Amino acid sequence: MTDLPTCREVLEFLGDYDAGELDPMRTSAFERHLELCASCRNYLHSYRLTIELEKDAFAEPELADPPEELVAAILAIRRPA
Amino acid sequence: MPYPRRYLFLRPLFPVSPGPRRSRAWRRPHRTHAPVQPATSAPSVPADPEAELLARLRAGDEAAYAQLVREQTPALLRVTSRLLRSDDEARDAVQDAFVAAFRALPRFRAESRLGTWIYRIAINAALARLRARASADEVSLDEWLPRFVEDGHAAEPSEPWPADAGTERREVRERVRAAIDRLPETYRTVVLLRDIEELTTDEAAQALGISTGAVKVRLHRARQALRALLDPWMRGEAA
Repeated sequence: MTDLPTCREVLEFLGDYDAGELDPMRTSAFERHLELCASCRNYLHSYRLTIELEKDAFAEPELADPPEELVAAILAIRRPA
Repeated sequence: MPYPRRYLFLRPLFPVSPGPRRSRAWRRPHRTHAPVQPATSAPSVPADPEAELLARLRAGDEAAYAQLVREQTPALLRVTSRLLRSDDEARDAVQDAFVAAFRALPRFRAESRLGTWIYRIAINAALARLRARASADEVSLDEWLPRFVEDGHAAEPSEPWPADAGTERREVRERVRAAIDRLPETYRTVVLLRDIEELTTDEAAQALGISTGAVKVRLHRARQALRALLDPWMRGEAA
């Protein structure tokens, strides 16, 4: 049985754990630590929420149409001077 | 062919605002490979509009170029403005991208869709502009990373965040954007490319010219820093 990781190890490799990139034995050890450690569980929840909030922070309406002067400038690039 | 002088945006007519959050399927609409077979069905409805557009572009059809620019420019402005935080520079980067794309079009092999190809070129154009900026203001993330005691336990136990973080609230979004803007540029860029633009680790590494390991480390540290910056406010301890 793999030794339980410390809080330091859990938080250092949390991104890999969350991305499913740890091997099964290490994943199992992480999950045993998380079962026992409320602080790391809280951290994992807030870490995941941070990523969701990042994505939501950029949920704004896009430009319906491109700026005409930009379109004209780009198309002018193709035409001989 | 000589290129005309660069267009100068003395007074932008439209603000450049970031785009909406979309599902991954929408956000990456051009990820699938595009067959480049000519349309064989009814002539009024091309079987493959992408292939038809590409053929017209290669034939030098001005209307096809106009279509391409009009269709792609909003998405390119969105990503370049996020990276550069400047409407003027974002527009210049889009222009850079189209200049590069027009030049490279004869070599475009249709291994990705046109939109994906130009989107990558635009990211590279924006990153080139970022690299050209002075970066003397890089600060350390250390103060926002977790601290531990000697035996590896957290020095300060993490407190829970509310289950409902109010993701619809405008204030939350402004706080998060402000937190992202506080990150050092090398970390902010990775967050934008990986978490917002949803590039893969390999794609982000290639765009940034760094290893995939470095992308993973920077992304994780940046997320930890953002979490720390948001923590007091999320727990109601900061106004």
